Amino acid sequence: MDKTIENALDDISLIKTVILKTQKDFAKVASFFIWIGIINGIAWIIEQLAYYIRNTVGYGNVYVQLLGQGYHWVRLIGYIVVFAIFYRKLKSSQNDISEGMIKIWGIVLIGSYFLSFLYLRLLPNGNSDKINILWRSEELIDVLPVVVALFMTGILTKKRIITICTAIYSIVYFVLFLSMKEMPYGNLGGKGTLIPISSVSVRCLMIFGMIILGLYLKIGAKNNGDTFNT
Amino acid sequence: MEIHSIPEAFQTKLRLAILSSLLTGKKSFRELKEITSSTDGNLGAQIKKLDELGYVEIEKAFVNNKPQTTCDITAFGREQFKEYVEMLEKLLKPKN
Repeated sequence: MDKTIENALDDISLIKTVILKTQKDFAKVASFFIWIGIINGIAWIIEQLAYYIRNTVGYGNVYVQLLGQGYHWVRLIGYIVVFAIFYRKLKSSQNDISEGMIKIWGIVLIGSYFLSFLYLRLLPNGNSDKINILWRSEELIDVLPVVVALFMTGILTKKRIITICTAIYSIVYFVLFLSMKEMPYGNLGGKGTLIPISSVSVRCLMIFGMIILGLYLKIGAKNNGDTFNT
Repeated sequence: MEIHSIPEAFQTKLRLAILSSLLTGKKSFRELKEITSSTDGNLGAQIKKLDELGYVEIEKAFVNNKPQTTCDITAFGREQFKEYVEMLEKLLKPKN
């Protein structure tokens, strides 16, 4: 082949590779997932603190109510702030895949919060079996969009391991949800309470799952480099 | 742009990689280092050269008390890049 043509082909292939690599750079979106995990971790500490005060001082303590509310507010405000920061960052980087992912996660995390708020407001008062089932189903508003978003993340990043792990988690979650098994929770400094194991699994997913996903994408983003010699 | 008069900016693979990565937006020195997998010294020298040639703009700022360098492609750089790709396409087109 003519040397000039060979060089031209080389250059075109290099340009394509670099542009593709900038599109597949998930470092920023990886930090977004790590922050979501950290926010949920902070919210979990607040929740445990509320349980601790409730167990030691009593249910009527004003801090129990404040921290109980704080758990939800920290998550909601945290999601909005992190979404706004990363959306701005990614908009300027013109990385379509990551920008799309942030939009999906923003809608899922913030949107599901408003949906569950609306759901709880519309729930009828009372203590019948039907109402108890409706109360338990509220958790699905939180978890189902997250599962869908995780599947979409796996598809968009073309990382099969994310899709496989999400599929395994969804099966485990539904088994736990339908089994209605409960476990002691918030027993720091006292008796605590019983909550469904499926709810504990959601907390684990939102803390450890998100941090692991973020770290995986961050490491993956660093390990796909070719060197370009001068 | 002709094959015998290729601008200096496109004569090395690393400079071409830097310009290609800046097409999708501003990048920090660290990001460019990750994308091109080059060393600090080499990357710094090539960016400086591209800046001197008017292809990129370098912005230096302090973020959280740490110096941060960001690079962006200039309008001239983008135009030249387009011309270079068009020249490559012309070169690869089968001649009748």
